[in-house]
Amino acid sequence: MSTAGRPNWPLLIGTLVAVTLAVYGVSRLQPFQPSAPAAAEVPPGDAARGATLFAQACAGCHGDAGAGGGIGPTLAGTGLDAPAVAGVVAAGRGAMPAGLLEGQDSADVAAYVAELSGGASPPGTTGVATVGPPVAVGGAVRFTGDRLAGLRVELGEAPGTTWTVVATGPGGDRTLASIPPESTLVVIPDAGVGPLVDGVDRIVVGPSADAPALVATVPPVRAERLRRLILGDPDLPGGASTLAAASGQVRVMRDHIRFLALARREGNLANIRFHGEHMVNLAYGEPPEDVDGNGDPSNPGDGVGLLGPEGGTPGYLPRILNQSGTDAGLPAGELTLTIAEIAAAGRVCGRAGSVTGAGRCVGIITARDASLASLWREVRTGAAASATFPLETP
Amino acid sequence: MSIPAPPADIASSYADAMEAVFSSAIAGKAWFATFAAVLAVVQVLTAARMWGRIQGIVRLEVPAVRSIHRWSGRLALLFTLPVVFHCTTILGFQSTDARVLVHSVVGSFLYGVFAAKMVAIKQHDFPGWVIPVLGGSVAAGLVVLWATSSFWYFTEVRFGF
Repeated sequence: MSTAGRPNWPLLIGTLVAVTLAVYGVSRLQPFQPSAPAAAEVPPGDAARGATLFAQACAGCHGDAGAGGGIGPTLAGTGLDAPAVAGVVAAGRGAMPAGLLEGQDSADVAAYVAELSGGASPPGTTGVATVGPPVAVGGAVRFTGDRLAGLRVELGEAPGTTWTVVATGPGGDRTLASIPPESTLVVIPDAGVGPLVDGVDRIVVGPSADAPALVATVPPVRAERLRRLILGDPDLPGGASTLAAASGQVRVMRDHIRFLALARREGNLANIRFHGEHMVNLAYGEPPEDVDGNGDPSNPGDGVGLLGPEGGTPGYLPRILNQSGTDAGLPAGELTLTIAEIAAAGRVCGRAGSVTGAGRCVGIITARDASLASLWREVRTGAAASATFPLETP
Repeated sequence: MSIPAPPADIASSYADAMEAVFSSAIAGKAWFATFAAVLAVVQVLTAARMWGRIQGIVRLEVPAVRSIHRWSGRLALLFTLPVVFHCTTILGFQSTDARVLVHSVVGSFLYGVFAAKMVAIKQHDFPGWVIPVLGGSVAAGLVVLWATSSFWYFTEVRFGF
């Protein structure tokens, strides 16, 4: 009670702090969160096997080796132990559905996560243009960076004298860098002339442009395909690059897989049907199907489709394969199968007559989602390989 | 002495109760939070009127406005209770991404600021700016909580009951 005429600030501030701490304390205790299995119930796990399972079932949300970057939190280096991991896997948390893995699978993943959580720093992430094919005899050049403004030149052996890297084309010659006598690698992060594929016919490496030792030829058709793949495709919505647009649609697909799993967890049949329809239409594009039968076909994607309509305009995956070329090493068959399986299971979920009946197809979809995530990472890596051109003796 | 219900049963019972009216527990929470946010706007308007502002917009006498302010505040508080119960006792404080972290932090402070406002109203000796600041903070907090939950749900997941 305040002294007459004087505000009781301690009471005001103390009330604010006390109630805030009480609410925060309850939210940390989570007294009514569904319980997790006791530590003694978690059998010993095989971390090596767990690594494989993690890549299939967990990396899509938690990143490769738990490095984060997805919708799930970073796990690497966070000090988690196996029983805690098994508990969260069993009970779920937030957007993560309960029971993604069970029994020995759960124990193996828990052992793996405990191992990578115990001390190692999260591994660095790799961009689109940082991985390429093995260097061929002679060497290879690769256009690098999000805007293909950089160049990486790798030689099979050191030149012995100073060499130059020259870009030649209709607009003339441009000297981009020098290679020291004892070096086999030079990296130009940004040549400062915009996308290097523009107006470049050849990359010449040697004592001078007039005395080339090795030449990489950039065919115009291939340069155009590379631009569409990584820089921009005028045939796509907004002129986005094929890879960027497709990446966005894969992300939307994976978001809806997560929504579907959440709806299943809540026992919400209407939402299961709703998101099942979305996944089918994300896979096949326009015109959208009314899978859930509510008379209103809806498509949260941009209409192109990850696979595209049968017999219609190619969807994103066929476009990427066409623009990358067969030497990019993309997991084409497996990715197509994965997306088609998700769409087929989505049809079943969308027409499910009961929540229980929808449960199995949701399980299939969420299991394939992990494959989709890992395969998509391979696509992004493989697409970068299409920016590589071999250096050959002229 | 009664045996407390297992946590899984309470979480399931909560979901069952919500699904008696709404399509899912999360949809129910989203609508409860929306009702509370709308009432927060009513709170701000009636408070402004009580302080002599916006007389041209809220054309009611102060005694009526005062009654509306109190009852809209009580209703808003009631609408938040099922939401905060689920968020604190079942979901808990989370920091998986920026949206969730902001929601958790602001949610932790909301009731503390509200309780402080009640103290300031009962104790008549605080400077004139205290109640508007605390009341405005409660309203702003409710809007932030709505934006980081219901708005996200309606725009990213599904708009519906």
